[in-house]
Amino acid sequence: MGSRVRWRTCLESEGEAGMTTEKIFDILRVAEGISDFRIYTTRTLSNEVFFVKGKVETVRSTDTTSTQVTVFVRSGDVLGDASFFVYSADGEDDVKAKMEGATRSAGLIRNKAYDLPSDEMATYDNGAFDDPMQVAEDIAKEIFSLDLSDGLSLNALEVFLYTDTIRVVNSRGVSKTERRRRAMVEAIPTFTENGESVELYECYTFSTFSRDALREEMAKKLAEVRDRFHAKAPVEKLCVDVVLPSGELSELFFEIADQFAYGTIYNKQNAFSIGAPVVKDGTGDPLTVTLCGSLPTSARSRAFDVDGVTMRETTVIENSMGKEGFGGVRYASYLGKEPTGDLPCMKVNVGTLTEAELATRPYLKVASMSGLQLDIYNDYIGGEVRLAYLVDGERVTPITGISLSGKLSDALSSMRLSDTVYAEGSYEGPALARFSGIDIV
Amino acid sequence: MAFSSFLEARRSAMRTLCQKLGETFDYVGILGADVRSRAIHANRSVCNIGEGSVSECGFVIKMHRGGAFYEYSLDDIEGDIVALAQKIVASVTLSAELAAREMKIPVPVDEPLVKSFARESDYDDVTNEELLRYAEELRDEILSRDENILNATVAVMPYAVSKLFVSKNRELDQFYSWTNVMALVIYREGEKIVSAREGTYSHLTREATEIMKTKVDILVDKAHHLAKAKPIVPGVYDVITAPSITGLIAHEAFGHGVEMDQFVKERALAREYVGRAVASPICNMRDGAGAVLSSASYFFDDDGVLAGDTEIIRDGILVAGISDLVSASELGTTPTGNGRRESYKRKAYTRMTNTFFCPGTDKLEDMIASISHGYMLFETNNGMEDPKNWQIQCTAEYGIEIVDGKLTDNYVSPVVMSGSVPELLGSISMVSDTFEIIGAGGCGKGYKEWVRVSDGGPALKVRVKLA
Repeated sequence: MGSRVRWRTCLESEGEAGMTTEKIFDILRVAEGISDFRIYTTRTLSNEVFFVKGKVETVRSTDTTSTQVTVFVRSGDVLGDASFFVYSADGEDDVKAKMEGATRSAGLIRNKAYDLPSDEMATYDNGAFDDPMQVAEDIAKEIFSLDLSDGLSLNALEVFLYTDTIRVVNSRGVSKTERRRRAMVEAIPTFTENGESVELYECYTFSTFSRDALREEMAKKLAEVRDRFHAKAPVEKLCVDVVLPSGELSELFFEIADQFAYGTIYNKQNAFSIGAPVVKDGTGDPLTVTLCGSLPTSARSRAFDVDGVTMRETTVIENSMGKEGFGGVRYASYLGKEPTGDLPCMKVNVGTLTEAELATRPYLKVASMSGLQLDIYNDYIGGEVRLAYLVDGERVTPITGISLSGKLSDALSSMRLSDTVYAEGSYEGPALARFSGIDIV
Repeated sequence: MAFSSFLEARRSAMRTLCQKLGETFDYVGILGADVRSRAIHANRSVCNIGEGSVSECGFVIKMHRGGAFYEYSLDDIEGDIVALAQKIVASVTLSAELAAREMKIPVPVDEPLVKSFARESDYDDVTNEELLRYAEELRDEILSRDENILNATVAVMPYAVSKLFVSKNRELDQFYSWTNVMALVIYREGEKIVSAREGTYSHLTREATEIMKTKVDILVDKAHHLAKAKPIVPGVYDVITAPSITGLIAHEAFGHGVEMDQFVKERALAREYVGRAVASPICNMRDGAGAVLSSASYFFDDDGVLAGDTEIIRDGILVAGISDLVSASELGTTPTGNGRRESYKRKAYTRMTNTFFCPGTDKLEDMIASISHGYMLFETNNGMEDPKNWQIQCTAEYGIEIVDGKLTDNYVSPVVMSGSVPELLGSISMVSDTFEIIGAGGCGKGYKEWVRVSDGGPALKVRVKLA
């Protein structure tokens, strides 16, 4: 994986209909009253197949383009901006009228000035799905060839295959294009016995199709849904450590990392600070979080952000201390920092918790939640658990009908990160983490 | 502003394309969408005038010939319509392997109807300049109230919807607008930072902005109380739900469970409970774009089906579900006008619109007085449905403790309400005679396909697990 970069002359055009970027650029270039401008275009080709109980219910195909123009009006130390969409049906007069309206609006805004990125051109090609319907068929074949007997079924399966071509051009000589494919498989594994049934939700994303990885993920979910059927609420209150899987860890660490966004810091809304501990009185593993532009498993991967700033990998938390901020050009400039791009993906260092150590005392291993509830300001972590396993030595008991509730600071200070890495969506990091002090109710 | 001139200009091309595709398909429906939206923000550090999040302009074509449904989304349909029709047919052609898996779905009924719909709107009368000045003045007003306010954001988000639907027998167009106004404060007291928000909404922008001016005191007072809020002691409590939380229960506990595309997928336990008791006998619930005027009110849905008002629960008995064109075709029922898309780029699913419990006969003060120790819960944060297993998780921004029948000054935050849907709905013991719809919500199907929804109702007295 990884981006392939080549330089090309400014303003080559691919696949645009109606008002092309070039035509819009030419209109904006000679317009009066505009200091700067930016044109951000996304063309998306998609093929989508929707299955209901193994049968094709709907087939979709799309070819759509979104073009957003932002105009900037500078007056001394103040800068105003306003944006508008250009639609495929718009003609030159429509664009001029929208531009004039946006210029008037931008003139009303008196934000602190900053400079747009300049003089950078690049093209990143991470490939398209050459035959998306064939990939959809391969995915369906792979999934429906899983063992769906003895009560197991996939009541719904939705396959989405996208190729995005993203382009940003500005008045300061930035011209960047990225083509990227992404796929999402949403599945509902279900288990039925004696007329009663339960289900779980699975969302699997990737940019490169791997039959083995898909099979492994779906097989795991099918096993879990069978366990959910047999799971019961505990008879007595459980007082054990809680183990969260990578999906929930991803939510937790993204929420914490957002506290280091330049915008959050500039607006003084950050609960954690650079140079200060994220984890106080920690007795667990140190936390190191690095944000980045892309991961092979992420559908959000990007080479550059909306301003055209190339994504720069940034470690925001190192050894449980706030290290660096991240974000786009506006707030970076306000804070006197270098922009990193609005980083969509995350890598977290693994810890020291081995399987052998994990097994030394009982714990509740969460497999599926309705959604992890986090409130950093109120120091809260919790949520409803749809399936968990109470692991006590060799004995593994599926549990449901419980909720988690605790102080986030206590949970973080006791956090032990597994020594194994797992990649899922926009997260690559410890496969699981163990926490003490979370109430199981 | 009136109905989109762009869509009007494409009306003839839509008819021609419909006719051309009709040579290949038994059913063809084309939806044209032209949605204009704006977002005006002002906070302490930046102001912005930009496009709103729901702007869209394009077309989606739905086709059927007795097997699966096919859809094609594109930005414009002008030009060589014959070539476009050929391209569309080719793009939805399946391989032999997938074709062998096609469902056999009956062709939808295409009842003849030609009609135009419009609602009063001031979308074009209100300028960006007026809205920016409003947002800046209100921001300054909020900031001036308390030195503990670190930042205040005021956002005004109006949008105007034009949609044109053309099929062989139907031609419908609609125009309406809606505005949401939001005020948010970041508040620090001691070491604690909290956020508090207020929202107002109306089909008229100026009405929504005026109402927000009356909420500043409430917003600042709430921030002050939230800064002193403590975590709740987990347990099972008697609870009074404010309309926002009542609506969240209606939406999450049962609304998703009666979306009939989930019936087709055997994903909803509710399918087996039609005609049976699912809630306390004092419980009544409805959904419909035509049921009330709120953020999810329209005249026809994205399948060209007229807006409905569906009675879901009557006196505790599950009466009916809601459906889109595809699920109704599969189930052999009449679609209820609940086929909705995030945009023309996305698939239509069965979606809720305005979902609410109906008012009862109890006085709110009597309901509070009936509780020796419990909480009144306010303001939706988020929720998650589980229609197959009838589990529910709803998060309220805060709760106020009730002791000996009186609301105290003790705030708890956040509050997560969870448990079994039948137990929760069965525990409804009092329903207030008040009624409010909260028109500021968004809803996903699973974790995607976001559409605007409203929900609400009266206050309910329930017994539920809080954590």
